[in-house]
Amino acid sequence: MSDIRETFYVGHTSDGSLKKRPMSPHLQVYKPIPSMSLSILNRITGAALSFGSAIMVAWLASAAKGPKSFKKVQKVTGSFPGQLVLFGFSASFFLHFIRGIRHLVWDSTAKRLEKEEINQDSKIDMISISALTLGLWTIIIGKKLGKKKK
Amino acid sequence: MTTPLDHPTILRSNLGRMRQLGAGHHIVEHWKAERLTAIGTAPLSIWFIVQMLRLGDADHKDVVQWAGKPVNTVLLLSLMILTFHHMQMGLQVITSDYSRGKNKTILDLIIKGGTFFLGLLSVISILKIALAPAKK
Repeated sequence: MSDIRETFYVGHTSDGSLKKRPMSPHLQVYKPIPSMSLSILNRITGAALSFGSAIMVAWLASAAKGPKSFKKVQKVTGSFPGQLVLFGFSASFFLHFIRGIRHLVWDSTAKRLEKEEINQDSKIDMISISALTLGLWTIIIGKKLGKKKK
Repeated sequence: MTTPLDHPTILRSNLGRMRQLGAGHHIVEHWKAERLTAIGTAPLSIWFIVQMLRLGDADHKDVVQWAGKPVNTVLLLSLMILTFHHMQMGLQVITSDYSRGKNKTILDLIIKGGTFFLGLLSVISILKIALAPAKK
């Protein structure tokens, strides 16, 4: 027994034998609602952004090293898989950004914490996250197409 | 009915009792620092995204020139330092939730080392670009 909480997990089956009860909570038994999904995603995107910021460091370090290595990094970030990663990076950033601001508002005002309000605001957040991400990439793709025409 | 205030058993304030309790021993500071670094990184990252849009696929010379402007250097440094501080604390919250004992200690050391290394690398890179840019 490695975890003292396991002492409380003793249960009985219908024939009376001992059984180890499962640990709560079981995420899969809850119906996903916006606030819950966004809360989980806030943590996942936080971890994902750690890897994303490693790209930022690579970009900075290559620029410090010289034009040659800078071009190499630019080739990777400019490639199709690189652009996909950057898209994920930006979407993760906007989710963490919007939900972070939501947390700061909750912490500083202690308002909008009723169940209905939380779910309403979660929907607003989802819309603003999508709008910001798609808006950013419309500008990026628009700029690229504009350059190709020239 | 007696009020609990009539017979105080411990002459300590609630704040004094709370301090040094809990897993991290400095939970309030951790919580506050997480929020403060978030307040700092939020506008800085939006600034960074706008700058990246402006730079587009600029070549090395333009990027060095951009990062060499004093205001940009300072903003870049602030962004990276705050980001990696925030990252270290955020990842530590995750390890506190899902690991315990020796595993947690090891994971936290890896996180501290990793964020310290990446943060220092970015700071040195920014300073090098600003003060002694590479030409070839």
